Amino acid sequence: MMAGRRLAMAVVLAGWAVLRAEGSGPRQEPPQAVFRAATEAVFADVSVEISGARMPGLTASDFILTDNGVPQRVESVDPQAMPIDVTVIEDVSHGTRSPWKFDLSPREIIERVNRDISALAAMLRPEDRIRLLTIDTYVHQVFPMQPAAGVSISELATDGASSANDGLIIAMLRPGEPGRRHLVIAGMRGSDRTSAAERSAVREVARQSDAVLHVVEREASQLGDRHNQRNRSWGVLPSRGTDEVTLAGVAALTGGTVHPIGVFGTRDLIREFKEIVDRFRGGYVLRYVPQGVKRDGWHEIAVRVPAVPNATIRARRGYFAEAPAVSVPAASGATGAAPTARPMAPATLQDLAAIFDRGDDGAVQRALRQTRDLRRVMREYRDGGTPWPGEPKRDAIFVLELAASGVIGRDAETRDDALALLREYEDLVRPPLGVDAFECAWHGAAISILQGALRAGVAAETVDRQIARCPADSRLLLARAVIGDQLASTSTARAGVSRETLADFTSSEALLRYEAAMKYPGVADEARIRAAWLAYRNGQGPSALAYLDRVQPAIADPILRYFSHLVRGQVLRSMKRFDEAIAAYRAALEAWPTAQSARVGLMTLTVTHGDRREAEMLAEAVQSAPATAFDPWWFYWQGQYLDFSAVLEQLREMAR
Amino acid sequence: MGSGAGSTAAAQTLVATNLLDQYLQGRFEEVVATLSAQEDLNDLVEQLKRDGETWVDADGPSERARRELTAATLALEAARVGEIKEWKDPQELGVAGYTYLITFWEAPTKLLEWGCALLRRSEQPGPMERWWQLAAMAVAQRAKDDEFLYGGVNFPGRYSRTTMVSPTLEIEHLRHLRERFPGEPRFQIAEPIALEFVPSAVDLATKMFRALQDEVDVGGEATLRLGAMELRHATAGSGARSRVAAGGSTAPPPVAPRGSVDEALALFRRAESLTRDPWVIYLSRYLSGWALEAKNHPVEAERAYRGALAVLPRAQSVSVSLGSLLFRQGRRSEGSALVERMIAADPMPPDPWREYAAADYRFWPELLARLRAEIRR
Repeated sequence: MMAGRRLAMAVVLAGWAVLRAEGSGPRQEPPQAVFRAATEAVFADVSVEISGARMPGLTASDFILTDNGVPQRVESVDPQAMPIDVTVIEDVSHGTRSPWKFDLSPREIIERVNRDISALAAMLRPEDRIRLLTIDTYVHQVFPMQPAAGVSISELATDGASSANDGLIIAMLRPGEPGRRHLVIAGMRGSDRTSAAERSAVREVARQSDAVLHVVEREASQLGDRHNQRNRSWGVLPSRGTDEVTLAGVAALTGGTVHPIGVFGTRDLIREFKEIVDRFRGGYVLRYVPQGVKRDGWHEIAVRVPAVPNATIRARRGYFAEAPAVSVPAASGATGAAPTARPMAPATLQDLAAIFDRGDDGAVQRALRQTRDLRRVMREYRDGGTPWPGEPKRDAIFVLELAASGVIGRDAETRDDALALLREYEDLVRPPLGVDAFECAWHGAAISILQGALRAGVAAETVDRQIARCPADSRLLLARAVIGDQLASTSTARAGVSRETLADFTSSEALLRYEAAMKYPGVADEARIRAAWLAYRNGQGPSALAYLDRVQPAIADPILRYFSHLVRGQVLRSMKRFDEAIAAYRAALEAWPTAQSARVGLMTLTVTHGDRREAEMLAEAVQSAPATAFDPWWFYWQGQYLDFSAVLEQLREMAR
Repeated sequence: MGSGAGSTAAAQTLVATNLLDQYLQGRFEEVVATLSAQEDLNDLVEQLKRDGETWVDADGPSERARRELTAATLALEAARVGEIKEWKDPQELGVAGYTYLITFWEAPTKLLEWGCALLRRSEQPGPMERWWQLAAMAVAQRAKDDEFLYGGVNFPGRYSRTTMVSPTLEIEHLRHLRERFPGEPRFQIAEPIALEFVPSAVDLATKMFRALQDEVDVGGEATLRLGAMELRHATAGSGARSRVAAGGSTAPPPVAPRGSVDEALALFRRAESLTRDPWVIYLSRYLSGWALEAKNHPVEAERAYRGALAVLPRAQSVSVSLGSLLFRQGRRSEGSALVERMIAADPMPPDPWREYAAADYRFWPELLARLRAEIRR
């Protein structure tokens, strides 16, 4: 009926939306199923214009629509009956200076945005909704989709670099809701500088989006950008819109348009709103249920109006019907997911990470003991990276637990791997801004592990590096003395250490190191006790007693209290001050009632001094002590490893 | 990151010594609100130059260090507040066929330099000066101005042969730091970071980053930035990443004129192995995702993006990149849900990608907290 007219006609097919028919249940079709009637409907916003003017009066029978080449039976839906969801995007990023631009103050920007959204809200109906996104360095959702009445804002982040592409993508990714149409109105200014997405990604998202995008160019950008680039390099990568994709092309894919800036003016969104909303409301909405085509994948759509054969038809190319989701695991590590508990012994890093995440230290230790192949776990960790990429402190604590088990592993390779892991992590634990309390505490725990394993050669090198990082850390200074003592005194610790190295570690050098540690209140008592034991072993009883006399009488730590009395007992005994020695042993037993060493010391002394009955009772107690009875003295040569659990707990506290 | 707008503090005549007193009393936010309301900070600069040292000395030697830090930190806060509005005014002067570039520095830069000079008066830098200098450098890095940090060097090819850069007004802020803290890793890496985006200085920046790759404290970040530069060169202007990954397209990746995506990927892997800094790990994984998209390996790209998401679960950049990738591959619901979750986050978590060029500004909250704690002490 229009064939003879000389008017150009454009058919704009806009806003395809794949929407589930109201009342339908969960989708049942298998992949690649052919659409069945009345299960899923496709809605399409269509506007028909003649020389830019909307053409009313068309009916469904005026349109021919093909889906992947298959003609479809369409019906028309009254667009007025469908509420509109409007996403407004306001670019509030840095106002670059140029002759063509003006800088707005943050307050003026807020006022302008408020004017815009109030004007738009006034055009919407009660059943319509609106949300506001702002573009700055970040894209912010100032308020989510909500009824339009009374929306306003009081605060905005402004003046950053523009992330326009990301703003457009975030807006267009919003899924359409059944029975509602989604319109995106974007007020843009300046070039994109910080977006994650390139313009070509915007284009591809636009191609498949349910939304109709209209872009209003608010201010010229090119001059300002050149000026700005010369002053400062805002961008991380070249401008994110440098490829050939234009905003006009992007908007056209959705059935929208770009409303360009005038030569001298700036564009006011309000002026454009009415035209955009009127055009959106005044178009056509076609509905069809795809017939004779495979359900999943890309659907190429073509629309014609046969009555107007010369019409220029611009239309969305199609829509995408989604296949069932397939998830892909993250790059490495546990990624925070907590696998379900397994009854079997933990075999992998992920198993152990899951146990560690439960926060039960005992369970972690048990799991590590049960792990058959610690080497494998350590290899997984070193090759695959941390299971806690966002929580370096948690990761650092886990490494300590892993290494503590490894250094006492069954085979030399496991032990060596554990030492290597500790060495590597010594660098990794360093925070970017320089040493902090957590790092020093971590070193304290790590050197405890080396002391516990009697790897004094490695420990001697390690502690020097650690002290260079944490020179005032008293725990490390004491560690240095203990390690020197180990190297000077114990054959196990000396094993595998070169003769040249050992030459540096003598008893007198160890004593000097203990003296140095005694200047630090936190470790002074332990340094004195250990110095006393060293002096005693060197046959310097009076000197040993002098150290012990300087130990605080009310020392709080029961293990140190026990050590103090036990060492005193030994020293006094060597000086033949037997009664005082007996008193010291009794005090040691008071401090640690199940201590076998104190019992034996007391027993051997009492037996030679006539109290056989007490000696027999002590012998009986020694022999009948439960296997679990623990004597801290057994671990004297493991140095600060006795505190390992306490330091771990301290680290956990710091990580919280 | 953009500045928060909407402050109710009205612009008022500013008296520097009053502000210094308030800042010394720990009324930090009050002072910052006052500074934020100022349109022009030049008067503050002049007042500090005139009255600052007298104020520092006013309470005797025992309080001098604290008051010095207070004055320098107030200048730093003012510079941070003002740097978005103004930074420098570069002028071009044409004489006899030559163009002379002359930079006039505006108030924020002068404030930074005033604070820097105040602290540099002591013969040996103390720990608090280190924290202040780290914070000042962070503020300067947010301005993304290599000229302020490194100096207006005319790298070969930077300007035309008839262009002259005036050396007399250069600040070269990093030179001060190099002299005061020769072994400080953050100041060492700041030099190539300053040059990273200067096209004619790319080779120099690359060389500097390479020299830092084995440094324990900054090796991870140096390697990451080398990878980012490599990727930038390999993909610049191609628009390749999204095109090749979109809609099942099988278009081959473009021929890179310079830089290799594979080399970039290797650098990202190495960077991650050198550090436990979540910022570096996030970016290594995130940019690996980019690189893998550019190679048309969407499955691996998705895995890399998910790795980045594991570092910072609602980071905006990876949410958009991954959401968009999934959406374009037809997994619309998954992509949409990811982005909708991210955009609903309040507050929005910091995003390493967004802050990449601002470098150490990511440390600003921690650095400022240290300075304020010392002043409050």
